[in-house]
Amino acid sequence: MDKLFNKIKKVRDTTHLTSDEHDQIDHAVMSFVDSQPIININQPKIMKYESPKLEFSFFGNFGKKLAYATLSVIVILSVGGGTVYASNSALPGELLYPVKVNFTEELQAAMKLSDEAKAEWAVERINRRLNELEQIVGVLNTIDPRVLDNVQKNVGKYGSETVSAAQSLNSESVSELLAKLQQASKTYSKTLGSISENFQNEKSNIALNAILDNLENAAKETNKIALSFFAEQNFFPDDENTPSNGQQNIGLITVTAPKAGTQLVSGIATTIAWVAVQDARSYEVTITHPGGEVIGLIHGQIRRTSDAPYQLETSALWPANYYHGSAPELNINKLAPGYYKIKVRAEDSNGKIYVGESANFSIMTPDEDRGILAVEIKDQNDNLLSGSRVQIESQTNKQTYDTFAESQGLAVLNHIPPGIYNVEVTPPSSYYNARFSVYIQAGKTAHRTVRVGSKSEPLSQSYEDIDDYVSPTIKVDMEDVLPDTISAHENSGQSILFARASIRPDDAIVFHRLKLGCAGDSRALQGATFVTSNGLSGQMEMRPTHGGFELEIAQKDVDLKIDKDETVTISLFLDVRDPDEAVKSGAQYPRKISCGPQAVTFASQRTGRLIPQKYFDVNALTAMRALKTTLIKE
Amino acid sequence: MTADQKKEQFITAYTELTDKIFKYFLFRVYNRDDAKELAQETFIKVWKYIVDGKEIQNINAFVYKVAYHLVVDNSKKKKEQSLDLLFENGFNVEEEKSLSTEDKRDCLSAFQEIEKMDETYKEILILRYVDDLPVNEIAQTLGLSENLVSVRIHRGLNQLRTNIEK
Repeated sequence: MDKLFNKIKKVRDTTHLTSDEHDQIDHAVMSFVDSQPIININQPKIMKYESPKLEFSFFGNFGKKLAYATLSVIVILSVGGGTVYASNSALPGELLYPVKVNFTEELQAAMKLSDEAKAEWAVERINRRLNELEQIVGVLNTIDPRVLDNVQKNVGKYGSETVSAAQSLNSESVSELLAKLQQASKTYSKTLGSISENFQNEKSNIALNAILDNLENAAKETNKIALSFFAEQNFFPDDENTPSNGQQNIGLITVTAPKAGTQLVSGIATTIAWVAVQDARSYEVTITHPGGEVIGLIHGQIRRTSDAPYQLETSALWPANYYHGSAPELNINKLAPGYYKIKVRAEDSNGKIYVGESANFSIMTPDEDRGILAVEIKDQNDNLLSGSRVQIESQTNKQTYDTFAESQGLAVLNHIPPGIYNVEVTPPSSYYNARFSVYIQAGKTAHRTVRVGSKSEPLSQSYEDIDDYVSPTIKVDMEDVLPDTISAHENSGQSILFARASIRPDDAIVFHRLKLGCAGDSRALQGATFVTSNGLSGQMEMRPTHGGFELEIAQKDVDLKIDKDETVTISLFLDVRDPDEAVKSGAQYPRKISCGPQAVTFASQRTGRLIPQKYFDVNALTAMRALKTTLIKE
Repeated sequence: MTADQKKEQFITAYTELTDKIFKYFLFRVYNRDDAKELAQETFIKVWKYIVDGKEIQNINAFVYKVAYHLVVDNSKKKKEQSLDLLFENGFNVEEEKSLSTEDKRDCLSAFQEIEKMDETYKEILILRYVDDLPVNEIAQTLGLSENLVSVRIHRGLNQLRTNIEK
């Protein structure tokens, strides 16, 4: 028995890493070690969030935009009522049509008791109007601008109905509504677009655009509600002063504020923003301690003037050092950690008073042992996308957290235990999802900018086309050059579209979409060293997300150029480039490539020996961006 | 342990184990480049574990544990690997000039015997007799009790003996 093992050992004992190979591994491992120092948890905690000045630098680019703890105070007014006629059902332009729309359906609307049913009905009516429009165009092949005008008004009206009903729904129902609205927008924007092409009539086009705008606005407003759920506490008009049926131009005031027990993290600012619509009225938003002691007060007036439907006037009676900015958005600084309440008092033009008071919520300083993730979501043209959902899942314990990006396209997740997380960004449905992973460090904010690809763009169909698509860009702050994986996939979740990265001179890693099925193993970037234009370097560790890295062109070329039973020497050239097509020397990157079971080491000479067979699973170990992989048979 | 001590401990383990871990992989994936890559990945993983503030009792056993899991992952991913190819191509580096063709053939046939064995025993026997790990480290690597490891070594040897005699 010993003999058997000794035979193996004899070979084993004479097998070693060569010194070159040692160097290669030493370099990779040690630069990884240097790039990721151990953070000493015993260090005294530094309270760096107390001063606003520090916070601004802490938040970098986002600075003012980022309202860490946003208290949304939304005042929404919906105007009920409307003239009632009597009748049945038909298409626009037909005699009975107004009866159907203005009576039958209105009656049905009035019979919907719950807000959920009301909202659903309103969305259903949007769909009906657009469907009618589709039908009428299909049959008549023409359209009366008055019909369009009418549809536009109705869609706008139902949109506001949806939004106001959605105010009191739970987050699940709101997301459902949102999905329906987006679906409607998707389904009919095509129809409306083709109508607009067929009828080159300026007036019609304006109406068509207005319809789409209405629809989008409704989706946007609903989305806002989805966003404010973290601060979910509804205010209703004071019962004594308000008729309960909501008719006769009486506005329903809905204010959202943090719900009981909510813990808001006090960062740079606590923004109080509100939207006030229509009708002369005044209101006050007060922040108090639970005992009633007033911390600050915002007093506003809305006046209707002839040239503007409403005008907002605001004066803040707040200790001056507590706020900055100007109406209608005030950033309130220096709210010390502690418990607070928000009170709202509003008066309509008839002198009726509405009051509401939030539950207690607390403002706290960020935990030193938790981290923050801020993701900025943009489209390819750098426009910020609001309403994207950002979900993260811990790679260790599968704990998940999620949030929505608010209007500035910024999604912030606070209080995240340190660790590596898989992040999934779900933008509005016309964009591709993006996935990446991020390392959250205690007491730090990881910023990521994700550029999501639009589905209206054609997919890259060949390897050569890839460079035309740059999606998404992950901005890497040098303080968190940390393990990262990027991959994107279609909404079906099946196809990985890209998995390569390059380093841009502006410190961003750019991932390139690959052809479907030509997806990558992020091991391609394992341990890669990169150097930025400003001389900073870092080490990347990519986690495998997918089987192997298939370098399609290599496979093709090898198949073509190597005949059976023939051993050839091939040269493999790896050009490492940045997106501006400036060829980087590649000297910064380790240069090993192995093909299948056959070891090919491309050391300094970058050539190696391959024996004929099909090569798969090419691990471009540290190829930052193998733009051109040329296999030359010698 | 302070951060410096942890780093020192890691570097000591790294220096001591790089070659061993490389061989560990070489005799499991039968591909020199894959073995190097996996060895590198092993240490990067271990360091990450340390950076995350997790406690490691026995760093050497832990390194093997990470390596073991990487082999398991790797074998799921890889298509068939050929032992013969390793002997044909993989050993063609200067250091092994001292090896005769006979030595190589012996090793190959010995390995083929081990390859025939049940997975349960194969890994343990290789760890024990090829990688020379003590029983307690094998136990930590595989997450088994020391007793179970001892029993399996014993059974594995019996199985191997029976196979050879057949």
